[in-house]
Amino acid sequence: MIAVAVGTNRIDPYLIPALDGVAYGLLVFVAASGLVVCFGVANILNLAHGTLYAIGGYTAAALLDGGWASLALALAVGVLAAAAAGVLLAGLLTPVAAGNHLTQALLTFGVALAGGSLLVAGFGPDDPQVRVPAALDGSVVVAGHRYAAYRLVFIAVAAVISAALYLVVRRTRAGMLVRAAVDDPEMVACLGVSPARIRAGVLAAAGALAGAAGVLGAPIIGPGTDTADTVLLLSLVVVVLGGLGSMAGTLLAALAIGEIQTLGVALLPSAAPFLLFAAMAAVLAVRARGLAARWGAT
Amino acid sequence: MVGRNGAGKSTLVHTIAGLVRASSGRIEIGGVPVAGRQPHRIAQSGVGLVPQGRRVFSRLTVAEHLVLAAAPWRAATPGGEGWTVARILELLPRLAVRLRHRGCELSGGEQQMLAIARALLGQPRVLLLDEPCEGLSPDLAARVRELISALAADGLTVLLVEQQLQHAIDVADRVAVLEYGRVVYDRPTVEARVDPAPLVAMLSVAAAVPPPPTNRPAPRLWADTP
Repeated sequence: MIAVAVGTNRIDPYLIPALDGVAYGLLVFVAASGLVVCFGVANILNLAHGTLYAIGGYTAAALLDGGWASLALALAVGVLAAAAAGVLLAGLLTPVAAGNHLTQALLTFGVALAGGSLLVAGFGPDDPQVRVPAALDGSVVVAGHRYAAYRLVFIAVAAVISAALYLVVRRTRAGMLVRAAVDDPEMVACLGVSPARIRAGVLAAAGALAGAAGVLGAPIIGPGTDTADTVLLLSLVVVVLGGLGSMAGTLLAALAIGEIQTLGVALLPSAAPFLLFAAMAAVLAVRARGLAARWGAT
Repeated sequence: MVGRNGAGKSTLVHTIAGLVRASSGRIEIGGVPVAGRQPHRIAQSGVGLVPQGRRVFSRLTVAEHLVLAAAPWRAATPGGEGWTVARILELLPRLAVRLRHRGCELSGGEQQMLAIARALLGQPRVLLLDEPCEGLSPDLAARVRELISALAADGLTVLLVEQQLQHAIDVADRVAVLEYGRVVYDRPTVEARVDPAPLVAMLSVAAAVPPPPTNRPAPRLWADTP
């Protein structure tokens, strides 16, 4: 009995950071999955990906007024605006050959800088406040601790988005195209599918996902001048950790990042600034192809 | 199309499919020049590719391959009512029992059947087959050759790249020999059947005479995956 009590007491302080880690991890998953798909399917390194998230975040800050209708409106506007920005990027990238990562990086980094300046010009240099729907503004009790209701609901919604993404990739023709293009883009072209259309579709989908993450995640990673950089950095770490081959790898990497950023920091506060990158270096040293690289793949 | 290793057979196939850019010359499909077009445009104008090494999508199931490749809206193939998934499965019943298996789980013969099915579902007017019998057991190779003969008899234009001269003579109407990227022999197969000696001599290792060096850029052989 005593041992159990001691055990619970040892775990107890870390319960809330662990739960936070799940919320953070799922947010990073929804935000980063678009970047992973762009890289894996269309061979595009999109350094403006964080800006797509920031578009969603600023939309949320501008439109949310504490009601459900405003959340629905912000979600619709954020998703559409970020998807449109993705298509615009696809257009800009048309003359750049797939796989020419240096040119892509320069171009998209320039777009990210310009986009960031436009957002600051439009919404001001101060980090705006985000008002979540009033019904979710309180806290609920989880295992004896108070926890933000919005985050708990966010975990459920992000899980639904992730499941929907999985079904789209697994069950639809577009998803088949995506998986086939990861495998052998030349043979996909030889089936008569235009690579330009795949590129535009993938970047639009990446924008929509990042925009949705930006709106829904605004109370977690809020809009601000460094939001785009933060999200881009986290997404790139997901790419490194999770590899490009599988959604499971991306999810695993995103959840690992979430836990490292919350639970890890709670356990080792002194190591907080470099814990994430130490973990990344460790994974690279052990498995250079990411956490979920397929064994025996050629 | 026969020739020794490195004669340029695969490069020719890749050039027709648009995966390699032609440095000179013309490629016409039904009188329409297609050289320089992108691969998906060439596929849309009726060229189906069964590449060397088959290149099936390793993580897509057989059923997904068929769904992805099906293009019933394109013009029907000559001599047929157009390829449908049902017709493919009737022709290649082995695929029907493997529908839920991924490309990487199939045997070499099954992968070859799938690669041919994938190309046929694009409703091609010209089918490019790059060494389809490579790495198959003799009876499976015979089955693939039978299939090719049947397709050709149905009116489909087939460009078959073969390592083995006898196989080429068995199925083709015309045989051409490629050597260092140039056609050095191009005759109806009837002649080769009567007197194969000149062909055999041309393909023997001893006959290899490298051409004078040229300053043309080397073709990119990026699609030669194992």
